Amino acid sequence: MNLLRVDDKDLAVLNKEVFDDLGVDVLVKSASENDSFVREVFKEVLLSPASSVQEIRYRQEILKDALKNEEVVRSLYEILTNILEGKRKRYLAVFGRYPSSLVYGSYRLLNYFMESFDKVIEIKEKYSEKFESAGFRELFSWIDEVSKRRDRIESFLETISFNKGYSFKIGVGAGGLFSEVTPVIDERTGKLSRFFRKRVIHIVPGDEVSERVVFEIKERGLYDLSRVLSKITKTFLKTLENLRFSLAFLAGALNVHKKLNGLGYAVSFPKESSCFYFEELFDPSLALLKPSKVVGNSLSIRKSLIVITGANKGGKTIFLRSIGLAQLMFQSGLFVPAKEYKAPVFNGIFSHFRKEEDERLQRGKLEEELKRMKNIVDLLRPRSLLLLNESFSSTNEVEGTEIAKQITYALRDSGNFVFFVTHFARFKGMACSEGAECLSAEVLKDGRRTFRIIKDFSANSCYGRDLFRRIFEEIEVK
Amino acid sequence: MKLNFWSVLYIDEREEEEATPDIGEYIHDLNFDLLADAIFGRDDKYKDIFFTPLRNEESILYRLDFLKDLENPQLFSSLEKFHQKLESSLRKLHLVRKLDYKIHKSLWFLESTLEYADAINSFLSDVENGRYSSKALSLLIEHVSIIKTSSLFGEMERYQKRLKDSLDKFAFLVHIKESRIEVYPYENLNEVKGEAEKLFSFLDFEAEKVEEPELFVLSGTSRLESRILEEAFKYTSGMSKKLQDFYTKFQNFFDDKLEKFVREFSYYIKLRKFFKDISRSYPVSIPELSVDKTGQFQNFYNVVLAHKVQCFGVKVVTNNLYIDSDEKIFVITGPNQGGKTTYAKALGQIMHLIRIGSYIPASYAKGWMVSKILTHFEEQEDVKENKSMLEKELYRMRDLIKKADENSLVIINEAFSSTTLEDALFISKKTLVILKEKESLCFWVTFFYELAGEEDVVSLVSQVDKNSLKRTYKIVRTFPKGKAYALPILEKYSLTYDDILERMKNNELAQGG
Repeated sequence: MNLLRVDDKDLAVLNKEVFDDLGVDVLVKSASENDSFVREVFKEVLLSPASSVQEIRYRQEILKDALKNEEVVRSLYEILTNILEGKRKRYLAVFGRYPSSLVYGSYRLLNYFMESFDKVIEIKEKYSEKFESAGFRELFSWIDEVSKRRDRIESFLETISFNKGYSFKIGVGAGGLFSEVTPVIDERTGKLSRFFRKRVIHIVPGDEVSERVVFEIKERGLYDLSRVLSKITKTFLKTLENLRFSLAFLAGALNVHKKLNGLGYAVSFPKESSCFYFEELFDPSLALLKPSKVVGNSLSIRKSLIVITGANKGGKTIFLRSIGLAQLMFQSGLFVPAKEYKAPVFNGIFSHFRKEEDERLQRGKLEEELKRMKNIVDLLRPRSLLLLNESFSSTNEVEGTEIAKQITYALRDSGNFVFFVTHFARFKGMACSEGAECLSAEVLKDGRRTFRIIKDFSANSCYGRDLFRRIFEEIEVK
Repeated sequence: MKLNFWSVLYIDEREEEEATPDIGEYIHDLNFDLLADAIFGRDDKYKDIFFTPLRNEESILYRLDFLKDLENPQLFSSLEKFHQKLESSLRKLHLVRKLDYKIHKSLWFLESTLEYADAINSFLSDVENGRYSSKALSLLIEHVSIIKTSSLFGEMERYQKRLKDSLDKFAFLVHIKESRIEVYPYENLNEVKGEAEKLFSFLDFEAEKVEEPELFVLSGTSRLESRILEEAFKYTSGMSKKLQDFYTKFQNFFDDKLEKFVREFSYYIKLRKFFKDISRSYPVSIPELSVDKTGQFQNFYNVVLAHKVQCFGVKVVTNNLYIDSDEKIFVITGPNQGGKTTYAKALGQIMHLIRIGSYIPASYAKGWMVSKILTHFEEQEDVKENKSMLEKELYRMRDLIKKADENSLVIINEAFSSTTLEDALFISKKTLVILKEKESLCFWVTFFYELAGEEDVVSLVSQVDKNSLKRTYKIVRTFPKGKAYALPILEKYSLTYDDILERMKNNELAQGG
């Protein structure tokens, strides 16, 4: 039972530069609200996005539930934290090589869990009705299973405390060897034992040999039971740990949601689609940092190679980041920073940003860039998203154009989506007339930058033709 | 019914009764003490067998034929398994004697009989279609078949089955609290583990990996276990009585001939193992007996030395020798450390191994049965006491010669070295004459190459490679070159007589001149 259902097999691959390039840390920090565990978890989940649509939808439903029942989720998180911290403080663990130690350790730990579980059951009783998602329903049904068996578990724990002694069934094999020593539940001891016929053997104090044999019989008898109890206890513990992990993630998501809403931004739950479409998409990290409102972009993109050009500091990098962050959030099952957002689900998300310091033209820098690109290609899975920011600008335009063409075209033609921010005009011209989507940073007639990214009609080959037809239509018709 | 005598070691009762180990100096001189240790370890009873020469050729062939059957891997493996099971059954029988409590005793007793029955049944079915030729093996198989078809054995098997069936179903309960153990009759109670599995089934814990705890194993022979069993069996309706009756009735179930077989076959197992090991690097075979005092030894070697140097990757050299019926005295000469003593020891080893019916270290050997092996090896004593040493030696030699006869093997190694050359030669030649009269087979290792020239003596010389001057350890029939072989090495270091004279002259000239 795992609330987030993080399945290692269905994860998208990222390159390690994504964290810095996209500015993930600001988002993570704002999710944490000074809880370092939430911070760790939120970062981990965000950087291991799912690549299956079902997994994403499943999580979105859970998050929707959480948003509707914020206080309940937060309380649950707190309760789980207390339970696990308590375990740590009391040094409760199942360890040791002797079966009796394992049994005892399991007994103590399970006892502790059952005691602390009351609060969890209370939550389920009061609020489970208000949750609709499959994930939460499964969680509450699991809690219900525990609650239903509470009494039986309690009496079972009493049995494995072996406070009243050990009862074993013994089978006889070759030469009288105990072929089987199995712990059994013997109700009668302690109460009725004196009425049943029995034979008693007393071990004389000081008879170390016999004491040793008793010890061996017990350990032998507890062997199988100890393995089962270890497994049960370990599984129980893991379930609780997973639950705490999942709730931490939800708490983080709730924190981000609250903050963004508080700042007046609209967020929404994205849908899967074969092309990109979004309304008022903004960079959440920037939004959380800046006091004034940031610009949102709205576009419908039907191609898979997108070239973005335009004036410096016109919002191109921010745009790239907003796509990247939105996609990470999307594939982690979160809401996205947009009024509406539709996009494909990718098997890999990669960033290749020019390093700020390297403004000079140096051969070594180009090789460094290409090496990084190679690392990405090595990790590449079909249907990935690549965000390239001023790549290959460490060389001259002619060489850079050729490199850019080969690489971006290859990536696009093998089924990937590529967003490429560049200054190479020649490349732009070529790409835009050969099937790429061309965008640029908006500049008004008076020269002001709006920091918006809009479609660049000047580069659109269809536009030119359309324009010609419109203008010359008059003549032709005549 | 008294079953016929048989043994896998001895051809008849008389042989067995009269078996006496031949303890003499030869054991130490020919390194048989080391060999026996290597084969048998500390076990003296096997060493006794190893040093007991057999009475006649038939006795030897009795064993050699058995060895030939053992060469068949299936036969050997069946015998080995049979032996193992019987041994295990015997061990349990001894255990029974050590235990105090009746129930425990009778349970181990039952186990011992089960193993015994299994040994016999498996063995007979294993050898059913086997082909074998030795008398020893046929007698054994016949004997085991008689046991199997005996009414006692059949009854025992039936009884065993009934007991085993009841025991398999038997169980009881104990309740342990600190140092108090309560024993109860069995009742079908729920297992704790089962309860855990049911209760927590919703957790899906089966696949979880956990570390293996320590698994304790009970000895099955402790007093406490005995006491617990004793009490538990009181709850059974008559099973303890049935077990005790079984014990009483079949107490002497183990056939004493089979008990003897266990001991005797162990001897063969150890002997075979040793020679199998050796055979990985050197030839090993089963010898043939010669009736006309001719001998033939091909690719033979000193097996003690071969065993010793196994780990060093060095290979021991093999030699060949043919002995005609009228050849008795062999004088072996040659350079020091040339392998002469090793050679003589090897021949002594082989002749003894033949007379006890064992494997031999050679690719082929045909020899006759010697009744006595007499050795005279130089004693490593303080050379200071020269006078008394010679006297001692002479007494020793005299005693040896007195015992020697035409069925003896005499090996002499470097005798009379504690006196002058002339005296030593004189004594040696005289001794030779007496030995010739006795008609013993004799190998005399000496640096007196003059002896090699005596009448009616075969001269064997250890060879040196002409070019490298290295010893080849090959010993062949030839005449000693006397001083000749000493020369090349002296020439190499410019230490010949002439060399030294010349140098002295030069030195003198250099100084005086």
